[in-house]
Amino acid sequence: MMRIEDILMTLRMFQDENCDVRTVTLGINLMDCADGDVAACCRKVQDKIRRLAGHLVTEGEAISSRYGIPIVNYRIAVTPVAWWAAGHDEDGLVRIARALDQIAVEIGVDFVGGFSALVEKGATEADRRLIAALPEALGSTAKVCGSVNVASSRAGINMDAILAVSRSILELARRTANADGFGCAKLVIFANVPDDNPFMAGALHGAGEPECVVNVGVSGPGVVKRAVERLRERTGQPSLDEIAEEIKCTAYRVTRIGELIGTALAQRLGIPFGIVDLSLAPTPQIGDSVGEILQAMGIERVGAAGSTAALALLTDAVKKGGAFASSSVGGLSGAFIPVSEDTVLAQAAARGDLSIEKLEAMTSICSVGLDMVCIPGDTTAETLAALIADECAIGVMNHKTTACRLIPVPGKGSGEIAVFGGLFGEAPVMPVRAGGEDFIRCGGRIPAPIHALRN
Amino acid sequence: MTAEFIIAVTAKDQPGIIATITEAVFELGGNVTELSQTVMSGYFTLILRADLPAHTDPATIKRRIEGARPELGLAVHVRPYESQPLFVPEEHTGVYFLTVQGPDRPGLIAEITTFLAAHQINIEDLYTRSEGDTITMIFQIQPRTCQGAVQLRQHLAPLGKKLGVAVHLLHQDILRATSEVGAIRRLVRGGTCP
Repeated sequence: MMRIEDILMTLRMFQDENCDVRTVTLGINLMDCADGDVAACCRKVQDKIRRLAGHLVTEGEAISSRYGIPIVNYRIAVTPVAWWAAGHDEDGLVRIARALDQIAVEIGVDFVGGFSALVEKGATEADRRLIAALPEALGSTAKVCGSVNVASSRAGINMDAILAVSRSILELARRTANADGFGCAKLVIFANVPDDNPFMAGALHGAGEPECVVNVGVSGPGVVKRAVERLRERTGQPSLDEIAEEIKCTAYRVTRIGELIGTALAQRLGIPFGIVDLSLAPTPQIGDSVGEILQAMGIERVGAAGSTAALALLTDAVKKGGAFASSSVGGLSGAFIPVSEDTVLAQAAARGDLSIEKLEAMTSICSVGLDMVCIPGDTTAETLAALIADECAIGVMNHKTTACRLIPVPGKGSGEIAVFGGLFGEAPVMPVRAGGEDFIRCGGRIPAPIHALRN
Repeated sequence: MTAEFIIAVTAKDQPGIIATITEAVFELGGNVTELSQTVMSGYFTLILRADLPAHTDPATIKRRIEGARPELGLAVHVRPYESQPLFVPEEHTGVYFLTVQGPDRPGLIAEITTFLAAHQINIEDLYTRSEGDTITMIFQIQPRTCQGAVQLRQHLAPLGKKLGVAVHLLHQDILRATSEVGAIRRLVRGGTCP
């Protein structure tokens, strides 16, 4: 028999610590679905997704049942729509979004990501139309997620694109005002977008990816938190290197589960297995919070001095443990700090312990960025663009992915609560410091940093 | 010509028991081919498989082992080895670990094992540990069919509720994935259950 302690430790991960596979995401290339006739294009898209992903949920549930591991979400990531839907006007793009929504409902997946454009160096006509279509496309569908890559370490920051998507974000918030601007929770603005991210809302099937691929996102904030707590119970006052070691070992175990489920499911579907994304993804459930991990490490009030250092330790230890556990790590792979989806972070923001500026500092050492952050509904497009530009600058200069999922909450001001429900949680509207609008109005592009010249 | 025997021995634990048993087997012209032993609450138990000359009488083996050092108080049971197993899974089902945790009470193990027997699930290993009034049981089990494993999982919640304990089923691959260093691909290739 295997070691009893190993069995009980693994049991605890599932029984008490909310360990699960957070998402299985099937990446599908849709380049061959391009068609000048929008109805034909929609039909091709639906046929292909149905053919490749029609059994995703049933096969996933069979694997889940065999191993006794919950798979929380099933998702589809498609080739950025602006690439294969060029030539269609905004109405056509909205019809494509609805076709994606329809097929997602039909095959039973939670979300489809990839209503996207990559415009870090400049926008095509198709990119511009897609950005303009975002409010209607995401506001009138339930399961379609979008993203726009506006910056990269190679190309710099496209400030014109940032201002354009900021206007779309505000319009999307207005269209979903009765849900506190929830439509914006389905739209991510990236710097250095990854091609294989399985997590929504920013998942897309990028260039260089195979025809179809299974990517997996693991979870486990609860497992890591309990591991740190148990270390404290055993040793009293562990040193930070002991905590890092404990987190690393725990991340190894969590990642191995994702690798096992992804490999088994890919084999069953006859589709290549892509990557495991190591990101610790919190939910509003107590015991499933990244903020709680920081508290277990000794950061009593998340947002206090020391929070960034603690998060750096956590992110690095997770990567080290996960990298050894998996044959192929990808996606975002860090620690998520989505404010509304993490109860402890939301409480810290409500108390005033956690500001947007502190969140921004924390995002310089973890993934992804200003995520599920609610801002006043009367924020101007220029101020919103300035916030996004700051976050992009962190990503571009540090050669890492950063992103913004900002939600201007219509009719609500600083301190009021926006409620999204379910896994999206709730969060206070956080104050934004305006004053950089003229800088944004200059437009153009912030050139790539000198260290982009690596050849 | 040789014949194979299964020999089971129990005794109060102390140094020298295995040496005494294996020496007696050797002196009878035999060779130990497989052996498993454990000690529980100060009591020793052992099961071994041995090749012995074909004409060897089981009663002789028992007498030689028990009489080798009477002060050890060895209780020996010997039977001819039959290679054909009585439990053969119909397909590659994989090995599972059934864990049971909760308040201890008389009859609990009997109820669980009766349930497993009724579902044609074989227990390959069993470990129990008591801490205060709480008992932890870990059954290493193998169902006869893949469907049997699925049905077992469906029955876990009502079984746990009926018995007043927490019951969980873990696939061996999960434990291997979290506890071992080997490549995951090898684990998955090993399990071909549809």
